[in-house]
Amino acid sequence: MPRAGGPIDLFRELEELSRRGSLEKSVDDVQKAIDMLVSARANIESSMSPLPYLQPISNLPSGPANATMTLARLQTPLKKSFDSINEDLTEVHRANSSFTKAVDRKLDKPLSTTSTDAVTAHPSLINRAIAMHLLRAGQFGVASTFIGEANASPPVPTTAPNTPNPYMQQAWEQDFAEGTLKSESLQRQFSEMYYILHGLREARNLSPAIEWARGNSRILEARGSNLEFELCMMQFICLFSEDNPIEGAGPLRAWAYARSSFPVFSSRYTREINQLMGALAFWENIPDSPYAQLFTNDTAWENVATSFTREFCSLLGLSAESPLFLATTAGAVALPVLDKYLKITKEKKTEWTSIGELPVETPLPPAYHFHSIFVCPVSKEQATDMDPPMMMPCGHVICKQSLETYSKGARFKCPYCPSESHPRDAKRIYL
Amino acid sequence: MAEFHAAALNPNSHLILDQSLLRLPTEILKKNNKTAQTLVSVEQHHVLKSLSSAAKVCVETPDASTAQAAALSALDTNIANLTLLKSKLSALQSSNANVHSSTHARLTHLAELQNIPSLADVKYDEWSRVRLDRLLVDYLLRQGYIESARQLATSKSILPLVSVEIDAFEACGRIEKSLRSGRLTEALVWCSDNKKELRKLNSCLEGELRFQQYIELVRSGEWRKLGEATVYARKHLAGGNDAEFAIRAAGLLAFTSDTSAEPYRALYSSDRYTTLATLFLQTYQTLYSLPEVPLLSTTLSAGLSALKTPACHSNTTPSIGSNPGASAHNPSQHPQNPHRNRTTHSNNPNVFTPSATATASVNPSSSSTTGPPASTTSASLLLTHSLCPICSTELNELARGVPRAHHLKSHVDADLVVLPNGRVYGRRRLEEANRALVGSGGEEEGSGGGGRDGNGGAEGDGWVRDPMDLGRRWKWSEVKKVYIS
Repeated sequence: MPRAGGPIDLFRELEELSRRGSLEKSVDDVQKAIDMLVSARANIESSMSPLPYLQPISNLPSGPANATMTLARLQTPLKKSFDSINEDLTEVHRANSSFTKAVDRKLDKPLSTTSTDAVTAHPSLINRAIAMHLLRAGQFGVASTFIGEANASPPVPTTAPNTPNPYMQQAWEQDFAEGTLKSESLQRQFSEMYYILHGLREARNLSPAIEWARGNSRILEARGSNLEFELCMMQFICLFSEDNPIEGAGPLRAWAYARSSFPVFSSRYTREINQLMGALAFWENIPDSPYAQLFTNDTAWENVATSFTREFCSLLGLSAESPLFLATTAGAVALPVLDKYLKITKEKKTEWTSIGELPVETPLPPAYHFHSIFVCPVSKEQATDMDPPMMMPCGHVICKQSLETYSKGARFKCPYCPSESHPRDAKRIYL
Repeated sequence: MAEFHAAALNPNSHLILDQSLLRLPTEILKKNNKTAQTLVSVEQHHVLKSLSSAAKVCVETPDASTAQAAALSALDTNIANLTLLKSKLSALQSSNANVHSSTHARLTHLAELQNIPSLADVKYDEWSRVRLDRLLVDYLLRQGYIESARQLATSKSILPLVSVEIDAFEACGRIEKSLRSGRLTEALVWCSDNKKELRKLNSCLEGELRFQQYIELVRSGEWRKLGEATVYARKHLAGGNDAEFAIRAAGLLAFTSDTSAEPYRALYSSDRYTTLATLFLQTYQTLYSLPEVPLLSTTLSAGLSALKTPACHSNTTPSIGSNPGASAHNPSQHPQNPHRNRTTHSNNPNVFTPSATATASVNPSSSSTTGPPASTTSASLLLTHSLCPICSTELNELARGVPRAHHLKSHVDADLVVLPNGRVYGRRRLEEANRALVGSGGEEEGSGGGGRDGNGGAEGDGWVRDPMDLGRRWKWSEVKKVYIS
């Protein structure tokens, strides 16, 4: 159900605008004026024709008198037709401004300019983020055009004070920030990723993914990732459910695959492997077996593709979802709140005084909470490196500064429970 | 409840970013109509006047054929002029029609938001991706990366949502580029096309352009050109009432282009063209009521702040930027953290190495554990902060300068527990992480016979490891509950 008052209402106004706001009528009216001149021209031309029988049968005077007359007579109708052209344009103007007014009614006041200095001061960092966003989105063509254009006219580096030099982690990052965007290696890596993803999503071909996972087996294992095994398990299930006329029945091929591929995983995934082997016993009637669910998971391909993307990006030192996407979406959610705040403070002529922190809470959906936040229940300040959370022996936590002011260095009662302790017994915790 | 509220979507206030989507089209329509009105009124004046004077000529000319020829030629000229007017108006009309259909596409895009109930909805995700593409196109256009913008719009099939902008910025970019390469003609033509609006804005653009033209005339240093320059100055520059400006202009005549005397050296400098190009850009954007700052920057800045937590630039939280991939390129750049990485992965440098030692000295804890856990190798994928955009390679530096989010309440996992080293996790998350870590490359597990079951995550007799610091392990019984209010 469309909610009332939304921009959807403007469709009617737009229809009205397309109808009334067209210049076609003025074009037609100009054509009418042209026609007038053309016929006047024909009239004069015919009157000067040397052949009398070609002269118009009219009581108009001939020769120069006719020319003068024709020209003179053009004045009024021409003026009129210009008047109507002008009227047409006025009508278009009216249509435009009534649409503009309708738009203004629907939209809030324009965005008040927020302080974006910290961001706009680093155009090359923004460019880098964009280039990486394009690459990770698989937009290689656009990315290379962008890198080409950005290299040809790099943004003017306006390094603001108080912003330390970026930690350069990889060679290509340095290139990005220095304005010499060279993205070949990143692009190569992402095109590998898309090749493998295409295998998983469209071609239903696990081999490239398995090959990649095997190549990075040790790192993946160290990360606690199950990807390699998950892929092999998928392969097993695929083979199982697909009879191949040349290579034989599915379950047999799956069994052969299991014998060759699973031993590596035997210590880590004993239970899962046993389960798969158990399924072999039911090969004739999987849907009615306890293993049915294992074999009919519609989202399995998508899941494995997602976890592959995550692992692949992590190994590149990148997060799985585009940070630019997450940040702009969060920004769109937070902006209305910030904007409202700015408008109110502007009206009241007060200033935003908190340093290093937004003046208002900008609630984001739970999916956008990436870190634990600890707000000290005593001081209501967020814990930081300078003011870390301290746990008292009773298990309650307050920030270090609160602890110091509250205890005054001597034994004190926990603000939340009856237990007493000495501040030196409080322990720094890491959330 | 707060979270429920946070996920609610208010389409109206949400449109704050999308205003230019509807405002620019109306500006273009307004501008087109003004152009049309000017064209018509100029032509009206011209046609009527030329015809009446032709009529006068006819009357006064005794010779019939000469008179008629004069009449015919006057008509021909006017027919040609009107035909030109007609084609100009047709061009404006096709621009109008484009704007109308583009506006329709925009309204449709905005209307989609009405049917998305929540920010957590998958459809909102898709919608937001389109918006990001739109913001990117806008940003690219503003930076003058027109071709990139066009390609992005085409490949994401969002042309109707950005075509008006592309056209506007393309026209703008052409003039800007011509200025940067030292040509003034295009910009001056644009100024005369928009004379009225510029006057309303009190713009100094045209004056500056004229002054530059004068400078070019003087630069040559030839006597003939200097005379021309003086005439030019009288015609175009004398109108201004800025006396100092006039004096500088006159003074320029006395200095050759290789002078080192200020301000004349600066006036002769080619940097002035860059200044002019920037001035032109600003004027253009004001004229079309485009926001000064690209919307992407505004959004990004708000988003970075809203997402930023003290942990994002903290020394004690390992960033996901510090993952193994870093070593693939240039391992020698990153000194290994000697006392941590040794235990697990020699190929996994800790890029925030200096911080590991820095925090050790900051740590006030009197507990028996050895310093704060700041390490990288982990099953950190199980922890949400590996997805944090502020901690990402792409945005971490950019976010350094922005203020962080304001929070009134703690946001932590349910059922928190603390490890002896001071790290706090939600119990379930810690259990899951430890389940996944079993059998991974730690030394103990290599020889330990337990395998999956022996080291299982369940509380009790098994071992527990810190997913962010795999070097040590404790008994689950050493894990204590934490209470956060």
